[in-house]
Amino acid sequence: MKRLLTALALAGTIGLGGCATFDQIGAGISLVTASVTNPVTPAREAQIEGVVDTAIAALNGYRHACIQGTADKPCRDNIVAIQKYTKQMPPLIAQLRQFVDNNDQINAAVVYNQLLNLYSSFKTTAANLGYNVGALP
Amino acid sequence: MNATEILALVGQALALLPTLIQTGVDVTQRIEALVGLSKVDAQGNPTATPDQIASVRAQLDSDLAEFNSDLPPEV
Repeated sequence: MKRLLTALALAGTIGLGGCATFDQIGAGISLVTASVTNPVTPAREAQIEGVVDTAIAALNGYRHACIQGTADKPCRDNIVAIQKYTKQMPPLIAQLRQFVDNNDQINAAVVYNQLLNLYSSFKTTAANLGYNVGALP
Repeated sequence: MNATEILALVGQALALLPTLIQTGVDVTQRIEALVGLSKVDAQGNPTATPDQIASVRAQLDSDLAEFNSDLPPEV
């Protein structure tokens, strides 16, 4: 995960010409397992949402290409395979937000870790289908 | 970070960039948003503002809804 972010940061560095950008993201976002002693704050919740969103944005590009007929032949099957995971995300995200907003750290950590595992699974599935949405840690 | 790690990151960045650009995603905006979310205080705790948090929540909801929707019939 950190590598994906660092890669994104590097991409930004290339475009923006600033080394500070690269260092900031690499040092600032670390998607590690949550626990009561490692709580899910609203800002930390936003980090995982930002990372997931970047990958989903990339997948939406694949979806657009598929609809337009410019993607690979099995793209429809591939999208359905990835949706198996992404369709599980909205209720988890809604729960996570509720727990974080109410500072219910025990349940927030449980749901955060479920979302983290789901994210890893869907990225692995995408990669196995030949669609790169970033490198797993 | 050593040269090997840097080269690996360059490779990953180059692999991911076309994907993001192909989607029509504003790459700069995405990077800036992640930079904002990655800022930490002296204790290493993230410092995203309520506006930044609300923004990323809305963006993820929108992008997930789009990806999860059924594909239109093939023509």
